[in-house]
Amino acid sequence: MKKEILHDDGQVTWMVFGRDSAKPDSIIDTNEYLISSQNEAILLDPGGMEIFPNVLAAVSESIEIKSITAYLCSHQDPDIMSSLPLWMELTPKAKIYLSWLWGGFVSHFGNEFSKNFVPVPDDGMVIKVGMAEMMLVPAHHLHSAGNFHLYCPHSKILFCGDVGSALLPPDYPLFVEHFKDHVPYMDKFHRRWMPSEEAKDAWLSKVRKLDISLLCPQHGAIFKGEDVERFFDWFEQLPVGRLKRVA
Amino acid sequence: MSQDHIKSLYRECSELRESALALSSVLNSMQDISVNASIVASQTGSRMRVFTEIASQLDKSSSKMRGELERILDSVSQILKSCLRALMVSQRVDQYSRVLPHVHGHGNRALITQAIYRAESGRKKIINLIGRHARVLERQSRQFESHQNLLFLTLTSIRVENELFGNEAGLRDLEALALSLEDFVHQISEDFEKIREKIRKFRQKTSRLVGIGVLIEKRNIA
Repeated sequence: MKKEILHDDGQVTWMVFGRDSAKPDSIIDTNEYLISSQNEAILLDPGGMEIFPNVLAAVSESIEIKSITAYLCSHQDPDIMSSLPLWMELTPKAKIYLSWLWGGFVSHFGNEFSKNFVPVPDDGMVIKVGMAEMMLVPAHHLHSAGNFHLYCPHSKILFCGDVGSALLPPDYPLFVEHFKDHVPYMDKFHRRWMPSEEAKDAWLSKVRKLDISLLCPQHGAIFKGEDVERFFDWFEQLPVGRLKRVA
Repeated sequence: MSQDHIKSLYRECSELRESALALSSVLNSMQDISVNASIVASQTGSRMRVFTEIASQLDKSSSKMRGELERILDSVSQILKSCLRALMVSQRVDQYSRVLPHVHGHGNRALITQAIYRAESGRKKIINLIGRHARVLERQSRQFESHQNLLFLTLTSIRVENELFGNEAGLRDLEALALSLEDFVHQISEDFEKIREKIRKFRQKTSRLVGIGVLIEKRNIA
């Protein structure tokens, strides 16, 4: 599993783990992000059961596992958080941030850790890990009915869940290098998975106001610099939520 | 103890459940014989008490056997549920064990080792519970057997009655009754023999797994 440090100023560190070469081909590749600050850490979308050993091994290279004090589940999908019971066995006091909408559903993965849920209200909230104050940004219906992204003003990084995702070949770089060449990998994904123009516009109007240096999706490659704005422009003009007429 | 051990327990228990359900449908037909005997009793009048006795004996035996079989099915359901729980815990043990050689840092390795111990200890408790249920199953199967023996006695009495008084007016239906009961008893004892054998093997297997659980715990303590 590849590891890359996205930001480290001695106070807040962002890391990404992805391009898992050990995973079976039938499993979609995911990016797991770890933010650590002052002996505390939060793991964003910890991933599915199948890749748990690989993610845990990779994370253990960077931090003491017991320093993980929180998890963010951007939404309820299995690739996002079906490994959560395994993580919670190792970090039983950690908080789990997820939309209030999903608490009762996610408890089916293991009710013993439902006491750790922090149900995030629809408008989002501010959370703190170490000295890093971060915002949970509403991204409902992109694609899940209860969906949150995370913005860290300190590092100017927006974790954007499934928005910006791309289905890539295994050897693809971790960062988008040529935006135009990258578009075909994400076009169909967004057309099919993003169900609402209204939700897309609401999200864009919110995130365009943020100062963003890196846009980090849960699948695919990371956008940096001018590619962030390019992605917003591309997404804005993309027709989403349209069902193809079935003959 | 691997997931395969527990999957095999689950499979055997499912087969046991199927056999018990098959026996249950055979037992339902016993009621038909009892009803037939009652009809004959009412037609031949109160003088022929033998039919009334037979009908009542069959009715008692069949309801006791059905009750015992329901208890066996309950125990089997408990075991199936426990097997699934043990399987879930085993998956957890496997996931942690897979990652342990690749984990960095003494603290992280200790954390995962402890998680493995906790999961193994939880699995041992579930296997012990399965072992207790298996012992209960064995008791229930012996109980069922005792009711089955009463049925043999009833059949023997009918045969004796038939030998002695079969030619008397009003008792000619005894032979037909004895024959249908014979078929029925044969079917039950065949089906039950399969169940008993499965319970015996199941019990042996759970005892072995309980033993492995103890060994793992001893290793962990050491």
